[in-house]
Amino acid sequence: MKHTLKLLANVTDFPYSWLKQWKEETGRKVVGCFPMYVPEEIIHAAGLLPAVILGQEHQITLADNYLQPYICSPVRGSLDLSLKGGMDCLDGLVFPDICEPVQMISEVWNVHQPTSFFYNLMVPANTSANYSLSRLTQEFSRLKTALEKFVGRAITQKNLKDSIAIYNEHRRLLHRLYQLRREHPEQFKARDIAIVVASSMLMPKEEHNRLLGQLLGEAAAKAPASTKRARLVISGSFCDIPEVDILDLVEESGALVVDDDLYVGRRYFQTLVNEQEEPLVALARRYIEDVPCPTKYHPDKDWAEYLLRLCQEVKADGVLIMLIKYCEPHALDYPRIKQHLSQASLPHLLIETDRSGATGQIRTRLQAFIEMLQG
Amino acid sequence: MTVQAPTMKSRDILKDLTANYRQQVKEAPLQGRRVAWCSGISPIDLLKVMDFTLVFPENYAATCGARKVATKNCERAESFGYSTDVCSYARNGLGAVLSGDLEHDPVGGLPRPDLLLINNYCMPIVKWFEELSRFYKVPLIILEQAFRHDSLNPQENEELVRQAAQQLKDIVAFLEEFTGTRFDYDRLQESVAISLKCNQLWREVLEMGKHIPAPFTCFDYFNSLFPIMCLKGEPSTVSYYQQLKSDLAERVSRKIGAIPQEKYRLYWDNIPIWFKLRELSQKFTSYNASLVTGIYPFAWAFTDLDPKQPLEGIARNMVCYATNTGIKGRADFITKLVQDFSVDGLVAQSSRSCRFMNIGQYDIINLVTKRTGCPAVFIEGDMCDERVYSESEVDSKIDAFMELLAQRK
Repeated sequence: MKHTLKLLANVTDFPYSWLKQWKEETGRKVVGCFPMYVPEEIIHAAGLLPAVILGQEHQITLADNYLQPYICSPVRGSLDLSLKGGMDCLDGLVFPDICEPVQMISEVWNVHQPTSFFYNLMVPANTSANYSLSRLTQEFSRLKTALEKFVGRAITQKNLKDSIAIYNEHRRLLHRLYQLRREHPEQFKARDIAIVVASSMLMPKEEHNRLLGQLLGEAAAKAPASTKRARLVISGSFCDIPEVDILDLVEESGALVVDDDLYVGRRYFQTLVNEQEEPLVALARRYIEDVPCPTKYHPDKDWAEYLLRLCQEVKADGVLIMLIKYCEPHALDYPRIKQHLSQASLPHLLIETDRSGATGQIRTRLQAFIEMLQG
Repeated sequence: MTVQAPTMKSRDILKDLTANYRQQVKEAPLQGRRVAWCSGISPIDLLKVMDFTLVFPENYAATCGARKVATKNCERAESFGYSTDVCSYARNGLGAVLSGDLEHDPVGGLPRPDLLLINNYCMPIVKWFEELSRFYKVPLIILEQAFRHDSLNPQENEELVRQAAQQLKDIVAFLEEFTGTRFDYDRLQESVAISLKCNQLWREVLEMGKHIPAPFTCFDYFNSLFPIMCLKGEPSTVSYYQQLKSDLAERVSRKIGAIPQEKYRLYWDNIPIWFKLRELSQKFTSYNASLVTGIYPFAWAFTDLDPKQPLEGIARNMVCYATNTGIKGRADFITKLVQDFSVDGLVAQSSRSCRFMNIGQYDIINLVTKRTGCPAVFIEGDMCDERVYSESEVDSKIDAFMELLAQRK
């Protein structure tokens, strides 16, 4: 397990070096996808590697010329890295309309760092309307056409179905991993789980499926240990890997992470694509029917209730909410979540992160929170 | 010699319009009229036809900002857990509503809505109204206006208009069911005809700023924006803008400027800082600088409407208005303003909590500078949260900028 995890950590620590090397070895192209709503299967079906753009640990300097300092770290950080040439290995970019920062960063990016393939994915704001499914399907079809033009060949129904099958297989494997964690949380470090999911956002799914299979085989063999540690669910950290040293701190302070509601986590693989349906419709339906998303409107999908249900399912003692500083969609939903959790007498801690790690203040608050839970 | 500025008859009309509107809003529930809360840009003609009384929470936020009670409302929202990073319009509105305490309300309270209607031009407006929809247990209608990215080609833009028009038909059907009355398309044609007239007049008023000296500044435009946003499609609004236009025409004919001695002509970028309109106006006047134009008020000056094809026109308006574009789209629009209005410099306000307007602003303004040679200054402000505003910092930035402009003259 250690060996595989080390290999995956190498991918997430140096994603663009890894992608560059992969390109050299395979002679294939990579399309960077800004988080959420990008149907990676269509890009995969075009013979390209879709790689999700996540934040990076580095000093932001150049992005300040183009963005105000009060923009979230995933957006500022990735633009900065790109301006420094750190993402030159990307042959294309897809930006979904999820929030103003991602919507407009695409415009800034296209001015300063143009790529050979550039696409604005227009996702409806309302996922509950009579047009939501058809419009998203139409938009995925427009993406497909643009990709076909880029690669110079048609993407067939078979290509799409094959890609969907590979991606669904990947989702099933991650579900198994998460099930194992639920059963034996002490066997998994939250950091490792985050790295497993983050690396899957960068590597070809075929290869990741193989590594996941190995990982599961090794993990399943171990015997469970009984524990009385506080059981935590972690929520949030949209568009980025949850900061791993904060995850480490959770465990060092004595708690166990039993499940999560993270973007680089359960949210990435929760919903499968229906393999019996017409591929583009099925892909669109997956997003329309996916877990509640703070950037989209759906009156019958209540994030607070979803989170509460998840916590009850795994018998959580508390919730750690990681809010990326300046993330407005998350900040706008927080009061409601706060209200729901306290009504259900489920303690939570909100921490704001901006990739500056487990600062003294975060450390103190987190330790006090976990101490309180372990009572 | 100072020329006495002629009386602006339009000022009194605006006062009456505002007072009448407030009265009408207040009385709506008593008279059994349905109330809809709407976003500043939304297909309100549809609601007018159905006899709704309209309330605009963004305009309410601007009023609260100008009366300096918005910060208090923002703090109320923060006590419910809303972060200071959230749009201050949303915080103002949610703070006032959720606290249920209208003690700090400057306009005598808002009647509860029967219906909510918005365009999704930004994510916070959706989430703000979603919360209102839950709080009041009333339906929320969202018109998907879609962002006109620079990457879209003309056919793709047309498709967005077609989709919006299609959705307007769905909204009409919803309204018929909601109110139990048939939608009157003849009345819609009339309403759109008046709206078109309003928009045309508003555009002509804005274009008066091309004259040297300019008879009106952005600060005046911000103050006369209210009817075009909230009372569009009404004959009294037409009369107001006709009077305003003729007041300005008189100033122009007598070469009377909005400020006594216009020396510099400036462009204002972004949403107003509502709680500092007077101070900023005085500041620029002290330098003999007139803020002759800005992109923001043009968002309500859409004239490509056809009363005979009302839904198509409204759809086009909802998708194609001035600020709903990417960097190139907005820079093109501003470049033209700079040229047409003989602008010497650009004042760009980065409104802290309005991401729709501030992201990409550096590039937009820098592109305009590159094309026109007009220097720019960026100031940090906000629509209505006074706590993020540093008077001394803004003042010294303006001082340095005016010095730079003086050297260039």
